[in-house]
Amino acid sequence: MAQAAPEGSGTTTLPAVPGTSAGSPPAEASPSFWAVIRENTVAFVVFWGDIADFTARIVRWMATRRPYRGTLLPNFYQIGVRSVPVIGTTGLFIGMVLAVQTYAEFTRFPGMKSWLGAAINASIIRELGPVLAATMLAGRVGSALAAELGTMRITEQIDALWCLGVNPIHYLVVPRFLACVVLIPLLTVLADFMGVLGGAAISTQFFGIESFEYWQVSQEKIGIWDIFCGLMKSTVFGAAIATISCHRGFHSTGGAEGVGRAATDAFVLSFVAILVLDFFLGLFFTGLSAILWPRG
Amino acid sequence: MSQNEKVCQNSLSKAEGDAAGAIAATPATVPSASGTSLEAAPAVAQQESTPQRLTGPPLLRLENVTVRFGAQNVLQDVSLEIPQGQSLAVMGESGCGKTVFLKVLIGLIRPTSGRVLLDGVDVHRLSEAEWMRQRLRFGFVFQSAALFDSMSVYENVAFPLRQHTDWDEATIRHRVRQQLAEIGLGEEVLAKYPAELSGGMRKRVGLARALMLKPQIMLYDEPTTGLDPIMADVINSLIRQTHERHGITSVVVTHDLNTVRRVAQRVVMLYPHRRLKPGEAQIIFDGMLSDLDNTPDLRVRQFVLGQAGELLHVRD
Repeated sequence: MAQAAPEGSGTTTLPAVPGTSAGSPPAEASPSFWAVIRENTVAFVVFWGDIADFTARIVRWMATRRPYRGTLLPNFYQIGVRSVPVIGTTGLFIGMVLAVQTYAEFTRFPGMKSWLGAAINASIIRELGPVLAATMLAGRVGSALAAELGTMRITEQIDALWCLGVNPIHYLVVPRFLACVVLIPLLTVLADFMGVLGGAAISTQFFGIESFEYWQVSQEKIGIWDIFCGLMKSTVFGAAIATISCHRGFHSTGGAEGVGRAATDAFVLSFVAILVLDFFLGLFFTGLSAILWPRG
Repeated sequence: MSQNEKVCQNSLSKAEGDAAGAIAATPATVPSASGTSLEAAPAVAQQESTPQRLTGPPLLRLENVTVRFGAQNVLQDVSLEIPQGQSLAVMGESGCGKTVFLKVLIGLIRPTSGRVLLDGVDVHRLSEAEWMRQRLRFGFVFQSAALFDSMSVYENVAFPLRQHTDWDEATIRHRVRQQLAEIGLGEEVLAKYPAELSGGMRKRVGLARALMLKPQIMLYDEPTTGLDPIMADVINSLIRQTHERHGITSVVVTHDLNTVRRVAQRVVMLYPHRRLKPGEAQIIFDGMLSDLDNTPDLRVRQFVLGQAGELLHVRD
């Protein structure tokens, strides 16, 4: 089988197998169950192997050469600044919804009302802030990245970069990767802040919980470690979103339909990756915490 | 100065030297400011009067190149030598593998088997960095022009210089204007975006961008497809002019016989692999332009005459 040049620069889509003319599709025996399993397993391994290879190339280019002048700032603006409203709004309402939902439960037991702030803020900072910010960005930024690069692929602009002696991974992907990795943690801080603010506003102003008590218990239960874990998670999520989305765009085929498919794949795969990574990172940080601060 | 920039400067000075020789040997024809070439159609005899260009050392060589996508062979055992300074047209019907052939030459598609030699060196054995440097010796004009749609015409044409030289902006601007003037485009297009250009203008901007680093080899993928006859003639004139003025080796992939007759010294015809007789080579014609009308091969004559008719031999 013909191989594309390094980093998938070949653009020719796989043509139909000879003998399958439009008018008379050949009768094919349905493959066996095990054949389907085998094919899917191979496809799964090949796909994630390709993602790993793509990631290695990004890292190599980041390590060996600075990004081109003029490519960083526009990407930082697109990915960071233009995401502020959606991330801020999402964070604010998540905090408010959490306050509404948890208040009813916490008021069933005497003395638990003072724990409301701790519960809301811990949920936001440890889990919901990073995961929701990353999910929103997978939808807003990931799809856009895949569609943009996919369009460049099918209009041969990526091939044109190769022909002009410019590595498209370095020119196109590295700035987007850096923007996601650097800015998603900052956007997570924004989501956390707005969520904490929203939860506090509803709890203290609407439900009448005493403000000092709300913040005092929160301060006792949430530490720097929680914030650090949340930000580390969001950094990994940012890397995953950038890699998956750029990979999907970079390898899109089949015209407008292919670009649409790449954008959808970018969001779906990024979302799944965020949840899977969240689980394993949760395990990792919990284990690390137990090692660093063993309970007597 | 980075290694890339050194290579680029070497390339620029070498190409300028070649160009000087070519200009001295062949009177140049500059298109008018409106972009319409006033040059008369070149006589075939003039092309044949430069046989030394056809027998030079091979700059590019394909050895038994096979490209397979899935179960389908697109190119099968294609072998070809392209001497330095030659203008070669690769013609053939749609789907015969012409564009794949061109992309194999510049390394956008890696052959399933066989070798592509540039100055005797197998390009697919080069390191990625070295191959990127060697790519600066090529210029590629895409069928769709492949301009960067987020950049203006000026930024598109200046792009190669910004990437591979440390020239200041004033020098780059001067060079861009000079290059656009050479292909008959004025300053009014500088600020326009690709979406605002006609097909012919896009092709010309694509040509200008490809020529910015003064390549030794120009590859053209269907340069006149989708253009009206007048604009097609302008593009053909520019291709020919580029070849003659700068002494650039040209490979033009096309199914347009007018383009073949206007720009080519040598013609190669590819035939779809699926229709070949067993054991037959995929290049069914390789000769001088003048031989094209006298070939005994019915398939070539059929293509040249543009007749589907009964000559068609379809095995599948």
